[in-house]
Amino acid sequence: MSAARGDAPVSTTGAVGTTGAVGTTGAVGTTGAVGTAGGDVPAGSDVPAGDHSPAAALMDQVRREIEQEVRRLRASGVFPPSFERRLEDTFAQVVPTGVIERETAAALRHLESVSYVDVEVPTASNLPGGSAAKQLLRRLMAWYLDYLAAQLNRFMASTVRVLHLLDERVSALEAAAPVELPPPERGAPVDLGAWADLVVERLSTAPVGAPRSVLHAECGSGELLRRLSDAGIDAYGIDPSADLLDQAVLATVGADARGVGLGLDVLWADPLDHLRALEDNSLGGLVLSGCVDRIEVGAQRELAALAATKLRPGGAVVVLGITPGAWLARRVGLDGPGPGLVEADLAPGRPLHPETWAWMLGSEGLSNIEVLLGPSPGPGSEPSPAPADLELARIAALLSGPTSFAVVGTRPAAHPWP
Amino acid sequence: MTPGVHQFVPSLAPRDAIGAHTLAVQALLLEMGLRSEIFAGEVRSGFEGRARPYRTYGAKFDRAVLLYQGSMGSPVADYLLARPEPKWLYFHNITPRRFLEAWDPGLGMASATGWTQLRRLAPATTAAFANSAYSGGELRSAGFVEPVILAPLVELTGPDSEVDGTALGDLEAGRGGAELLFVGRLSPHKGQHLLIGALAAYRRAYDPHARLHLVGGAASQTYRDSLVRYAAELGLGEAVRLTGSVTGAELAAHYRNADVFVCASAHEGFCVPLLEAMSHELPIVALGSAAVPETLGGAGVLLDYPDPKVMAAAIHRARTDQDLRGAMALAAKRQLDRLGPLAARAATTAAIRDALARLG
Repeated sequence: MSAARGDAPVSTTGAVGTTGAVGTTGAVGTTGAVGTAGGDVPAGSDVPAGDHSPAAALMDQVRREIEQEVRRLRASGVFPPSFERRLEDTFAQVVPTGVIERETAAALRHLESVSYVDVEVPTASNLPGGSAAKQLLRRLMAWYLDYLAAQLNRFMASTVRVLHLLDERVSALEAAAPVELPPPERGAPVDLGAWADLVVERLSTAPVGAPRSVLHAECGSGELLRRLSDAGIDAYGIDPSADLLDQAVLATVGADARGVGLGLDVLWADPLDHLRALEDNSLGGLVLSGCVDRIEVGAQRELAALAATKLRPGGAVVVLGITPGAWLARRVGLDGPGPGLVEADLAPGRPLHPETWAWMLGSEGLSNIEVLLGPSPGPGSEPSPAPADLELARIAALLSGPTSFAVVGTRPAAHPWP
Repeated sequence: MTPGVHQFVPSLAPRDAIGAHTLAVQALLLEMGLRSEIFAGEVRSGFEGRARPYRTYGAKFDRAVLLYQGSMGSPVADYLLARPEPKWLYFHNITPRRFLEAWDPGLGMASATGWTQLRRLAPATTAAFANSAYSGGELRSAGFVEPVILAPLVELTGPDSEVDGTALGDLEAGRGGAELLFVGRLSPHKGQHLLIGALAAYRRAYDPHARLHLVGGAASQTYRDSLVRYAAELGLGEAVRLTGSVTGAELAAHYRNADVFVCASAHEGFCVPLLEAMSHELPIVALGSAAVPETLGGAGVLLDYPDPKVMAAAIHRARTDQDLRGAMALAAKRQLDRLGPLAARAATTAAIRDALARLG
């Protein structure tokens, strides 16, 4: 899955080079590349950091144009999100068990470092001739010890590998198991259209900087993204559902007469992975929806932290979520049919109150926090409920309050901490 | 007695950068009037007689300097640590374990062992050399002080190299579109699977008849098997050519036939094939990881992350933009002047003299 968008700077951490994951796409750690190893550049080893030569400028320009070309191909449907998913899924099918998994624990690293038999037995001796005798003995026994050591090292390497796998399985059990919800459940229950005007208004003053710098995660089939684009806001979207993204692209291919970017600019990516891979201060605006309601509390807090670090000063984040009350209402089936029950039961996390999001964004250093409550559930929010259900829905509205909310925060121009 | 600098290497093998470097250094040492023999953990077929088993060195007692050509873990390093002679290290880098262990636990262990041995060698070594600034940084992190950066001393396969006519003829006969080339062992950290993804994207967007040639033996048979299956599952079984290990003349034929050199390595200590591609004036598209940026030096399009779509677009641009190709060719000439065999030879000679002088 894409770790970062084409034209967005990619940080050097949390990527292939540091996790060891071997995917078909994703960021690569460049830690230790030129400029980080000190001043001992060999004869001819150049391209130092901060190279401002005409050649370097040309290469930067070429890279930007390549990114634009990729965006054009994505938007025109040549590279639909399902293409990238196919590459990843196919690769996952052909690799051995354990390749596409997370890094192992530090304790196992230490175990590995000591799980090695060194056959070079020390030969120092305090006795006259003792050292020579030991050396002779070592040479005579080398064929035997080498043979044994090779077998032992192979055995220990395999044993350590088994421990790695066990550790990963235990870790997976300890964590709240993320559930792959069926497609109808994966989208945001929030009515994005109802919030579109507010989102456009809050993000229309996104600070200038990198092009197309407003991100909507998760954008689903692109409804809100389209509103942002229509308002002239340079925006792109990500979503973990390649099927929804394909719809987003196909629905708009050829519909825009402005020439560049015939479809919506969307990427198949997980919100957390994508945000982690982005360089700090790279987004002019951020809309979070869908994922905010169903991920674990730790991940929700990380989302808030990432929003604060990835936004440029002056940039705003808008969190669109469903209220816990509405979630419970869905759970008892008062404001919607069956599928809501599945999501409520199986999602690894639960919606947070808007005040909690406001507190988290504020604690990450964002300012001008606003909490806006959406419409209460009731007639019109669901298709043609039966009269009895209508009454129940009204009761639910009274009990559970608004269905959805928006929490807006802005990154201050100056860093708030000393 | 004439001073001696004897080299120790875990494995001396044909068509291997470390083996070629070791032999070239030996030739240089002999030219400098020094005694020099090679002692190896193993001597692969084709290099018989070029090195002796490392344990036979103990009988010499000639008090020479012992130069270790270090990379992955090896009993040779343990042997050297137990020797009283002054020791030098030339560091070719160690592939990080994280890239290897899931595919081949033995290789992962060799990587971990290599780092352990490196840290033990640090206080026991009087001079340290690294093949790139990137590798030099890793030596520092292992405890070495002031490593000297020396490009590897290898003869490049260049436009004047002997070309296998039959191999070239076969390659040309099979051409239908762009010919993409990567040279390097089949190993997860070399990212050949990413290149297959990039080929899929390139064929989809630009050239449905393009092919990808992956030249090099398999460091991991498991990885090789996965590459074959991956290509087949994507419908690229005929378009992805895994050649295995090739002769120098066959390698020259592949360079001669190629349109673009592509590199998706996530880790390289230096990457000699980049220089060879430059010498063949091939446009290069590479991932900017580890030492690749400093070896490439502007002679190719450097990508920040391995997105097959971006790589496909970069390949197209590198192949079709004549101005860009001209700029890359100029940078390539500069890099070859700075990192090529002549420059490396002069720098290595000076470094050896300096290290010997410091020994007194």
